[in-house]
Amino acid sequence: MNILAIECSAGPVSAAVVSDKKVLSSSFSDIKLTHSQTLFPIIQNAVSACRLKFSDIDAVAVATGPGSFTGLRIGIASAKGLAEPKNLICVGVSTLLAAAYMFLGENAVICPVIDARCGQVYNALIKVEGDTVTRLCEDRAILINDLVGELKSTDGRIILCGDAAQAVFSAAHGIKNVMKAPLSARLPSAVGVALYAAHAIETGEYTDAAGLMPVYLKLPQAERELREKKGENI
Amino acid sequence: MTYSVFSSCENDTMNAAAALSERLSGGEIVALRGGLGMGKTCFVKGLAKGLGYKGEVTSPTFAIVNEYIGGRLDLFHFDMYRITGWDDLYSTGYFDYLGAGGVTAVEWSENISGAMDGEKVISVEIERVSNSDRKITVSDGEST
Repeated sequence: MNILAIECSAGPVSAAVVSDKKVLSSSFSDIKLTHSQTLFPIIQNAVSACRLKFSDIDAVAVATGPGSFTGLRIGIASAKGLAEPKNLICVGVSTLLAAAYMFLGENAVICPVIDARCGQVYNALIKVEGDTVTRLCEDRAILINDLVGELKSTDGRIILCGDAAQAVFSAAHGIKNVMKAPLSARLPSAVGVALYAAHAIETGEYTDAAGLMPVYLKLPQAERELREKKGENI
Repeated sequence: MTYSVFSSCENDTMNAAAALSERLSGGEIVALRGGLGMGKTCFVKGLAKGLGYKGEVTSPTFAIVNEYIGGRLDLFHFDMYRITGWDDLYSTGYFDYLGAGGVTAVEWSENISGAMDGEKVISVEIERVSNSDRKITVSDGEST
């Protein structure tokens, strides 16, 4: 089964093809163009690089969030469009869980952190032991300071990845078991999405084009005032 | 740093904005305040011109955001007049623009003051002195 995976939840955009849990090709770019301009050439690259035609693709997987509002919409709309005509199998995966799949074979707690602005990050803690991936918590938006507090009481090696890895690493200054992922695995990649999808399809966790939905994890600020109160000056 | 300049015409307002644009390095929010007809859009025109953008600058009242690409820095021009909640704001892509490395100019910034925490904010308040005269107060500093 050939699975095409798409990841454009943050700055970079990437596509990968896996078959039998083997990555056949991956294509990645991190340039200052909108994903609507970069995604399709990258999908084409990934598919043609392994001598496949699009008609050889059996399933489409995509990172569904949390992440950039526009990035998620471009990625999911593209996946739906590719899958719909031939009713291909679809897999939607948390961007954070997909990030942890980049570390298969490791023995550590993976801590993906995506900048959510306002001093917060989107995060989950995910334990990877060889080929076994276990969630330690659900995806959430959390203040960097609160996350650092949690990391203090987390045992084992903790590996930070994602676009806020450096910021969280600086804030976690002095916690010995916290380290940054190597640059090669720091940013979200469709390879993680693809590896998750291969596993998910095997265990029957998939949907169709209509079933793919973005997950905009909201910042817990709904109760906070957005508008300045009348008469208040800042 | 806080300073005020007086403007008696559109050109003055644009020049004040162009002067500010020279100090921008990307990543800033220029948070504009001032009621209808105070010259907020005119100020953004000045920013765009100062950054070397050659195209047209119009009020994004209906589009919510206009992108001015091609100058020294990208300029994203928001009008938050009709933004009333976090869902509205999220769906404009506002948070994506903040991470895009350009300058974000926000009209009616008082409507989203809760969404500027931790950002590099330059606030620009335009007050009416007379029918044609305006007092423009620019202040740097983190939003609180």
